[in-house]
Amino acid sequence: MICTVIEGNDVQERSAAVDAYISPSRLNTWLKCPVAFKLRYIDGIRSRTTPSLFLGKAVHAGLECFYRHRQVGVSLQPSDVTQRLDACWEALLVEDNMTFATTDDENKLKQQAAVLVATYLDQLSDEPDPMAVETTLEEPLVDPFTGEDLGIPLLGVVDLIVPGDDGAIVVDFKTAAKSGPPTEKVHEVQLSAYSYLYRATTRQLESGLQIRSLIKTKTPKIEYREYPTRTESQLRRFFQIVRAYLDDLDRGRFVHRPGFGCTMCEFSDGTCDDA
Amino acid sequence: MPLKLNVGVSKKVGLPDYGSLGTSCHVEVELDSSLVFDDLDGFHSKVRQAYVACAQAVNDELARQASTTLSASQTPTAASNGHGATNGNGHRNGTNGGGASQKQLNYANQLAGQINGLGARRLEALANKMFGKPIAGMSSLDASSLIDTLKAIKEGRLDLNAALDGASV
Repeated sequence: MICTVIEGNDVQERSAAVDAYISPSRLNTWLKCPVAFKLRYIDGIRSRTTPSLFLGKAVHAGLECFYRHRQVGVSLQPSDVTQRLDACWEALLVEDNMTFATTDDENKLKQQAAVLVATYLDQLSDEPDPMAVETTLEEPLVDPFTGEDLGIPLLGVVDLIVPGDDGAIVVDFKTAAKSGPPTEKVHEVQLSAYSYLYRATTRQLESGLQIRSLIKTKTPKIEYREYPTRTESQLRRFFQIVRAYLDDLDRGRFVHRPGFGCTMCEFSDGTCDDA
Repeated sequence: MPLKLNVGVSKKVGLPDYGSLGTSCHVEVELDSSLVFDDLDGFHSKVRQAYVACAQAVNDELARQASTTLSASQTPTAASNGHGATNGNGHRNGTNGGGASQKQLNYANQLAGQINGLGARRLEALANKMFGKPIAGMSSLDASSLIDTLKAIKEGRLDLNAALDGASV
């Protein structure tokens, strides 16, 4: 099939088999530290969802709700989205096995999610209806320069695809604690992966990619970062990374990469020392 | 009493220039139901034979289409807009948006069947509303999007009438 749909199984349910597919988050985790990758994706060690991660998930759910309606011609007001977020809150908690220390903590986070989504919607310019919302794309990884089939599909969940002046714009939402520099390299793997998936699915070039960040400062801010169509060298680099990743997987070689990233790693409690 | 055996094999392979090629073969055969109770080895043998037959058909068709397709489109580049073609029972990933695959269409129909009040006619209306074209004209991305929408309706995240009528909710 052209764009394989994950039927009945979401990405999380399939997370066990590392040879089932490659995803941008798997690649990024491996790039950050192969040992962290092994612990999470091969050994299956999952740390508890943090409030920060859960906030991101709730914000995504709110935005998905808004755009899903928009796609069928229904414009929801921010208050409608908040109401719907409220209605699905319990389900989100259950899905992530999320618990809060106090009810007050939970209410604060719920409120923060609602405010972030409302701020985003308030600032949203008049853009055309989306082409796709929170859509799972899966395509065989075939090097476009050599034709080599790497024998494993690439899978990604694209938050939003909207029509642009010269073609589609692939959009990813992020929640962040503070504004960051528009360093393209930070997002390169994800952007290249989405570009590849879009091209493989539609046989068309994307006109650009965007990262829309919802900044959870005291007064929330929304940042749009625009990135041009992926270049040949970026896609070549992407395939180099994929090959190196597959080599590590094939050899079962996972080398520690101690460094600054350890300060934010879920396995920094010493779990990795025994790996 | 006859025993119905449904066997199917689907396979998708990658092609240069962001392409892919997929074929599937499904057969339904009737077996003597006593096989299950009296001759389990015989039953498994029949199942294996059916799978082998399907797999052979799928591989042959893939090989046939791959040779046609590869000779038609050489020299992939990252910046080229590819062109695809649909042949036989396979699906070439292409044609300016890549047509929806049979598997996608089947899944969309399956989901629609699980949604109360959404028959085939209204599914067609939904596709028309979302993409301004009939189901038969949908691209792969359209089909993926339609499936996402159907899942949202099924899970109660999107109201069916709102989706069909576009009325405010």
